[in-house]
Amino acid sequence: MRRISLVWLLVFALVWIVLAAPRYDAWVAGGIAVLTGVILHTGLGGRQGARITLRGLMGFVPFFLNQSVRGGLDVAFRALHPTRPLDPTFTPYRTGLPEGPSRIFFVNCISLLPGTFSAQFHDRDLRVHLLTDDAEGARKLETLERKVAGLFGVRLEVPEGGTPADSDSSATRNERHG
Amino acid sequence: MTASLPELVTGALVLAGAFFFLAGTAGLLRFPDVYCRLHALTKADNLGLGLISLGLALQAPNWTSRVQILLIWLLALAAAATICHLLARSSLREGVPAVGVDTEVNP
Repeated sequence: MRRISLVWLLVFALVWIVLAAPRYDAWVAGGIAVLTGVILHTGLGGRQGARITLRGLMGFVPFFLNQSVRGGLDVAFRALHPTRPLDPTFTPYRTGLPEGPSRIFFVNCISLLPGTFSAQFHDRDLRVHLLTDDAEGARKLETLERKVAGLFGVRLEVPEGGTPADSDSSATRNERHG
Repeated sequence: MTASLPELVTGALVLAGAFFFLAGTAGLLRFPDVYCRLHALTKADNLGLGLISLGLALQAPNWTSRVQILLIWLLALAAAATICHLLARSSLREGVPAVGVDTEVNP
């Protein structure tokens, strides 16, 4: 049985305190939410450590904000354009991020990048939906992957751009690194 | 009646935010399938909420409120990304067809 982490109990409690600020009578709902959060977090294996450095954060935040603005502008343009310019497709992507927080974070960030969201993922293999089928898609994912690796201070285990399409070469690379 | 500069900036940011919510809603109505609609919801609404949050943070009375507003935006981002992924995944499992893609068997 996994043990409940005291640190995460405090983190979730702090989040609630900030959200509910002066309303201490809100602790009935807050207590339930915090406990549920900790239990789910523990149960889903969230105890792997993540080390986010200040330097990594400073590299990531401007990139993320910039991409958020582009993503919003891009989709707003397409939604309001009379001809609704779309060329949607799915693309496979194999991530080199190690299992754990950085990979989950990457999968979530894909959905906030312009024109991409993650539709499925199993182990290293992701299925990404692209709003426009262009060569840029994979390159944007690689850039994001590098930024996330920098944020968490982890090394990519597969050279960038490895997709299930060239799984033979990826497999050999994995073996060499693993 | 005159508005101070922070009030004008707040007004502009909130209006810009509202525009992106409107655009996101237009995408929700106009985009051809569930997968494209998810793009409209996640991106346009996140930027919309971000701009509105920024505008309101300028008017916030203290730093506690600003941290609160930032936290709300971050939680909304996390929720949007997760829900987007879950909706897309279950749509794929159910075999909901995607525009421009041959309906293939899911891995």
